[in-house]
Amino acid sequence: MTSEKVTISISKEVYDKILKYIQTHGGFNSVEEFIEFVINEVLSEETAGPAYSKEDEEKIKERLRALGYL
Amino acid sequence: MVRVFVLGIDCAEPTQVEQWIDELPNLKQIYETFYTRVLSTVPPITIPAWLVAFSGLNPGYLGLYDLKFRRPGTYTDMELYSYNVVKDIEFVWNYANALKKRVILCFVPGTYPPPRLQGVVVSDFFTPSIESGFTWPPFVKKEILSITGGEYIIDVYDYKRMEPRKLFNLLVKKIEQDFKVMRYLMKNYRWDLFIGVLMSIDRAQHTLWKFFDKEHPRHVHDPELEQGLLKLYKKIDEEFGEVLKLLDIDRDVIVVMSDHGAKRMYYRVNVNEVLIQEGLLKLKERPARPMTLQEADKQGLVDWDRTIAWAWGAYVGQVWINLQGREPRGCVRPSEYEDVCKQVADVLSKVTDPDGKKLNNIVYFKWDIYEGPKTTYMPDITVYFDNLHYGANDMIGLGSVHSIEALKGADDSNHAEYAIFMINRKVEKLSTIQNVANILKKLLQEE
Repeated sequence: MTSEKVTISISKEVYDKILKYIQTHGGFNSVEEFIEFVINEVLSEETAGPAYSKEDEEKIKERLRALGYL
Repeated sequence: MVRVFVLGIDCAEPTQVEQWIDELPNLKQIYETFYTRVLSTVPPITIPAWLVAFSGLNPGYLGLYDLKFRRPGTYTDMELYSYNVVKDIEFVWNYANALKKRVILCFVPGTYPPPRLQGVVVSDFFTPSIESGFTWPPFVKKEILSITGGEYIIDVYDYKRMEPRKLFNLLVKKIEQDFKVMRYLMKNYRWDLFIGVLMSIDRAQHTLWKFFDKEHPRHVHDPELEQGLLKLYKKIDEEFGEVLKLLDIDRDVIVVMSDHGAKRMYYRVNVNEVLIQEGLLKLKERPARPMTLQEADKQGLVDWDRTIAWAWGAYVGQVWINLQGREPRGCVRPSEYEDVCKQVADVLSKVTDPDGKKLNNIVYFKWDIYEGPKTTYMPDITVYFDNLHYGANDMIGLGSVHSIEALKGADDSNHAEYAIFMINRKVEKLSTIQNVANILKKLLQEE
């Protein structure tokens, strides 16, 4: 991802909500990081690829074989 | 605001729960208000059963009949189930979100990759590894790994090859872990609908059944393991007691349910061997050793141009007709389809036990049980051999109709057709697992 940044404005109310959320739940170092993550998630939903990589698929198949399904 | 809590116990068998309920005091508190047996899906298998329960839809709307499904345009290639298959379906969790209610899903079968809900999701046993993104939001994963000391157990899956005592101890550890995660999320995140599903009883039924069931053909006398299954139910009850402390039993809705039951398994029916014997499945040459039909297909051993029917299935027989227009080399004309289905079903319904004694085989035709937009590739015929006291096996080259072990190992029990449903409310009578979603939706509407 490019490191070039642009500036956008959001309401103070939303900013404070995000800040409170981060302080309560952790996982993000800043409001900017949270917003970038959420936006990326929303946009990536439309172009989501397969659920499993080849390697993941083999892991699941091995497990399903042991469980008796394959 | 009414909160709805659902504890799912995969494979909890009604006859066991009814027999042992006095030894399960916490579950009994719910059981005494309302309890019923509910009919599972056809087939009674984890992924379709839970997702039908939580969507209220016939399996034909979901296209689900197993943990995998056949890839269109092929005879034996399969694709693994993932949540992507059902992402457009409205489940009770989507319904709750639409009502502005927050949800927590914990280990609910069929929820990998985790759907992006208003709330928290910890995915199920389809999670490939702890490196995978198995939570929503992603940062919850760090918390889950932290509270489980970095030793998060996704599933106990290798149970058929494990020493029974080791298996028992691992299942106890898994139950403790799962409740620890559930209680952590209950305490640390806001929720209006919580669904947590445990897999440990299912894993135990397949391997520990023979110790308590003295009539089981492979019964093993072992005073310690004789109580193994009951002890696991008791462990769940004890942990559930700690969950009840986080709930208001007079106000919160509390549901405990399973997706299907379990019953003693005598043998497996090698369904494709039956079809070969009857000339319905044609081989170019016999395989040199026992192998799955998929392997035989890859080796070019199956004569698809002359094959009428073939089967999949480990717990039930799932049969497809080689239908023109649907299959790559279909040879059954659409006008003959129903008659051919009935002929194949007639053959399979006559399968006997190894001594030639009649079995209570039950046959379901697709047109009687499935409806919806995704029925095309669902099995044309589903067979419960001896009403599920016999499992199924799709291997060929075994040279016999019956076997105890499949490639996957022996099973003590098969899945059974009834599940449990209990709730701390008086609710309308329900008869099938498909009715559960509507009950939950109505409860979620309460203020």
